[in-house]
Amino acid sequence: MHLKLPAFRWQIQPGEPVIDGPVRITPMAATLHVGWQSAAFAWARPAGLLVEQNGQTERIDIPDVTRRIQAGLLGVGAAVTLAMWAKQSRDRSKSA
Amino acid sequence: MSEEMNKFFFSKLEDEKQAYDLLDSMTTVAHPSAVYGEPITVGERTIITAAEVSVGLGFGFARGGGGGDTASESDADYPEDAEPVSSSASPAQGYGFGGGGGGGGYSAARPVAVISVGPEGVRVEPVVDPTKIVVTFLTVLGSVLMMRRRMTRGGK
Repeated sequence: MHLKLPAFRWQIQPGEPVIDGPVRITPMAATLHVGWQSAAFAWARPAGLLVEQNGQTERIDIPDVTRRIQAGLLGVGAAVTLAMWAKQSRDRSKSA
Repeated sequence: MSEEMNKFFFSKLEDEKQAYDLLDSMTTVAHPSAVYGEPITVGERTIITAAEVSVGLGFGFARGGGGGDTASESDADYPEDAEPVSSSASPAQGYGFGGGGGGGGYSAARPVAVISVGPEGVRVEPVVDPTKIVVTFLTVLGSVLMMRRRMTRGGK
């Protein structure tokens, strides 16, 4: 017995369009599905909006501010650690 | 194999099938309808919520069989209508089977943004989660301080 679907699937999927007067909005979602034997993981996040108005189509991104701040904090932490390590290596080589 | 044993094994196979069906149905989570909420109209505005969703699930099953202690005692020799015999009375006619399974999973959702459609156009208002940011900040700060301490100790 095994999963019917492929083990790894990553795609950008359009959702049901929302029509508000002259504006037609198609929400897009980025989805990930990972399955392995008797375990599976599914993840989905908003990827953007396709806004159609007056015959023109515009793409609006949906920023994940929380995730960006988290990534920034992790980057700063890694940079500070690396700088400390480089400074200590230099100090050691000077004293040796 | 006895009828009871057949029933037992096939019931377990049915459980496994249901578990795999559940895994396959998890793909519904990885779909835009799970990410975007139903549009809500308030006055001239239409509000749509957007969230990040994730689901994980895993399970396992195991089965075991039994039989007679001697080579002549095959599964077919075991009489189906025989009365159960305690092991102390006849230790040579042992027979047993068993099985089990277990599983676990999680699901999480986090608001990412609110989409507002009105006369002024489409606006995306991000949702900031201060708790997650503070937890990340404290984790990074703790890690940096721990690394600094280790480096200072290692330098002496």
